[in-house]
Amino acid sequence: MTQISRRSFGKLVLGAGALAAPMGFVRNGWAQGKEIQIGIWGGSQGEFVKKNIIPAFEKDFGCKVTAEEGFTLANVGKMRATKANPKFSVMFIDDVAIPICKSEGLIEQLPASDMPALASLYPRFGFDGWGTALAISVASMFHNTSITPPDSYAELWKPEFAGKLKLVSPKNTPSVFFLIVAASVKSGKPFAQAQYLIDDSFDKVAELKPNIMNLFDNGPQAANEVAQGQADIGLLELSKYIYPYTAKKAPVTMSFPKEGSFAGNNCQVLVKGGPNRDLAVAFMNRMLEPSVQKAFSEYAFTAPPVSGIEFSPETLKYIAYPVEEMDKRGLFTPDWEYINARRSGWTEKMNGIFAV
Amino acid sequence: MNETVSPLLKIVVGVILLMVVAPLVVPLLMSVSDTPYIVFPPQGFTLKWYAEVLANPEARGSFLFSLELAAIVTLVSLAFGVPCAAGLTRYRVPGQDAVLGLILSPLIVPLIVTGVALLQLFALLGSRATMLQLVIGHTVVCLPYVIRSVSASLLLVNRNLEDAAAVLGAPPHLVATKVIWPQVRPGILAGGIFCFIVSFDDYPISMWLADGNHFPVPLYLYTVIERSFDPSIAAIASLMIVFALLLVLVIEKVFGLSLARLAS
Amino acid sequence: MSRVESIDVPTRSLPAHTVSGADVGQEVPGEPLAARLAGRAWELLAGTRYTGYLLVAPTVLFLAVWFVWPVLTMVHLSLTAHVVEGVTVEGFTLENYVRLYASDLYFRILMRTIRIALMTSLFAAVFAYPLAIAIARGGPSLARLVTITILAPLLVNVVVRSYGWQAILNKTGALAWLLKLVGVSNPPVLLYTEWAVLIACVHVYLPFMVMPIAGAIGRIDRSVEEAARVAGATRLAVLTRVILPLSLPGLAVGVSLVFSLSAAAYVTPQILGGNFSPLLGTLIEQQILTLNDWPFGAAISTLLIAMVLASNLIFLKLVSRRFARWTAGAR
Repeated sequence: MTQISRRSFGKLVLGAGALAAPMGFVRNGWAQGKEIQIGIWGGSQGEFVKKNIIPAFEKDFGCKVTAEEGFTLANVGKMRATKANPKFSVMFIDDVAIPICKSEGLIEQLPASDMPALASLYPRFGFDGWGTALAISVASMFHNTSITPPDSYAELWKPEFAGKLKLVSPKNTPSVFFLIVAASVKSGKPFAQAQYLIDDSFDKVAELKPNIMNLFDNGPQAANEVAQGQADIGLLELSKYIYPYTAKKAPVTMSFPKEGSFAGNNCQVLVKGGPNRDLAVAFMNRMLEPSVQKAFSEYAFTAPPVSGIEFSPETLKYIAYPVEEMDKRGLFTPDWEYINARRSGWTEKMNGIFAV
Repeated sequence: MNETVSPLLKIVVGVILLMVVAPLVVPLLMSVSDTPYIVFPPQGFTLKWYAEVLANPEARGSFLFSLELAAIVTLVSLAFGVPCAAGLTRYRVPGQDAVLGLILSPLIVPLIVTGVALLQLFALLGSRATMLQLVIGHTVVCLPYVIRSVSASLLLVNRNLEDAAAVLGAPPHLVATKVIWPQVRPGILAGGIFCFIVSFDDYPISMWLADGNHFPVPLYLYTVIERSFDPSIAAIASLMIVFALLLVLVIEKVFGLSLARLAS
Repeated sequence: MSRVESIDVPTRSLPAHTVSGADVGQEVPGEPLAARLAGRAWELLAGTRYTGYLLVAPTVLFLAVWFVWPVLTMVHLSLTAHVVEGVTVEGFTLENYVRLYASDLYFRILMRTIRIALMTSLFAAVFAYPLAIAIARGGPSLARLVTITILAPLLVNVVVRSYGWQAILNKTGALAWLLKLVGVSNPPVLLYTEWAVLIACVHVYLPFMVMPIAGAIGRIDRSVEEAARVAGATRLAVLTRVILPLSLPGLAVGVSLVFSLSAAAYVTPQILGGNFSPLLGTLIEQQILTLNDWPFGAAISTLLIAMVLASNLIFLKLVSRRFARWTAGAR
């Protein structure tokens, strides 16, 4: 019955769905009646995919797309558990997980010839053909608008912030960004070099403990607490979790210390051996089409991975776009392969510092 | 009924019940706050969060699905659990302790592990029947509760009454329906209620086994929390509390048995 | 034989004394069909040598296939694979268990898990007794009120309840607000401490303690209490000398349930403990979801399962004498 209600709702929002009208595709009979399951993220992005992008796609292709809006971290686990008999055809995951999926043989390379929309994809978001980014967020500090945020991460270690900081828990990807920040503050080196010095920086991490109020798992909830004034500053979180609040006039916003900020890349991958591969590829192509990307980015406050999209000045306040703007802002993408190999040990050290 | 409860106890009970209710009342208060984020005490008054939740087809779909799932799981668990409890309490089954240990063991394995282990097994078997998978997963977790409360009430059945009835000439099926059934009915009902609740509230098993077409309420709640942390979450919580109260009243009406006597 | 007889003699027309002579106090008029069918089935089944097996077998088979097998696969995984630098290495290994020993982190979190589970059981038992007595011995409306208030919150997901507690316990929350109203100038902030975890655990698992204890108290013959009262015992003495010892089986069930459930808790330590007080369940979640290290996650689970099993066995030993008497009496 969920499916019925979702469908009828889809009709209601078709007006909105029209903005996702087909671009390069001719209506094809081949997809008629086919069905795929995709695993998507939660958050406002998930909401938009479900309510706007999928209904329009289903109408154009006469197919059925079932999206499971999940907890991002579980998506890799689900692919792994169902490797013998994949249930999902497309998965939305973070860039951090692409090397893992690749090495475990969970995903396959995209057929570029069947995906015309790939032409405008910025090469850096192509992952050698193993997936594409869909949305780029900026990860940085967020703070209550009643305070003036420091312009350098180094100041967060000062005693005046005792008990006033919320730190992202080691469970979430931005925790790695924090470790890079700590290594950078300790060594004085830029992020690109500091990421290889994390092993020697845990004393610096431990020094911050008195200033930490708690380790948060849920970004929107942490933003909520900062908005309430329970804490002054949260570090670090993706802009897609914070800016929806800022836009709703909650007293919380982001700031970008001089050391730089991080790129949070939400990506899509093609599941190896997943059902109805052709339809899955068509869906991935649809996700990259300009009309979809524009609406998607405006809704979720993320930057598109494709070139040539026009945004209003209001939207450009919240996103780093085009790619030159990302470079200007020094958006840093870590060396995930290096990090994935060591993350387990680092998590153990974080647990040792904060959990005992 | 003679009153054997002292006034002091009543006061203590009152205080404890207030503490039990507190974390449910607070969301109720926060759900009417006219702010884009959650605050206490609430600021302003609005019912728009309720309107938003009630108008949302996803919320309704998840709710109806969870009801359906929990009802099926309860029936399946009772179908397995009641005979099993009878066998364990009224017959000599070799290895009885081992069997009891097996039945209770789903309680001590972390659910997140049970869930991922089951998903692997289903994938290995090539199963895509999500509903069946969810029913199986939930039944595994619910069986201990059913068997525990049904066994407890079967153990309590007064054998003297049975013997007396038999001696006085009641045929065995009458002993079963007139003597045993009334005594075990509360236990079965209690087991069924716990089972329904455990299934309705399950997150860790469903997280692995559910999909977009089969999306129980706890998963939906998580997605709402991830989307935005606004008073609509408090509104959902409040609606669930109202639902819980209604459900309890319906059970009393339908089964014609006071919940108050459930435990005794 | 008996079939013919029961067809000939419909339930309603049975001589009244046959049944009422057996003093079936709780007899309900209008027996549901299901009950009659169950009774008939019972009658046909009862008495066979294999009846016990037949009744128990479906459940045992069901659990063997859908629970034991998959879980053993996970335990097996903890012995046959380990992850080195993000890459899974296959083959028999004790590496995961060595890792549990190598750092005192896991030992300390194990100890915290036991401590929280024990304290949750203890506090839950203390709060459960008044409630259970009210259910079993109070008037119908009191019993009803308590039962409903205890059971209804169970339908509200633990995440929501945890956020409810957060709203109460935080710096600007309901408790601080209330304390300030009464004039406490600097109220303590319990949020993000082990206390907050404990409070929420007691709240979540209290019903699992109340119901079995109430059941046990309900089973105590009222005449025992009355005899004690007549013999001059105070209410307190009746409680400690009669109700407490005779309700031990219920307490045992409650404690083993609450201990097991709270030992595996992972939501409350995250939301209310601010991740400063993780339990073993939190670490398992971290390994499986974030670090994708299932073999090590399975090893921590095995540790948790072993701990809970051992604790339950020890606890049952402690009350075994009464327990044995109880079950023997009922057989």
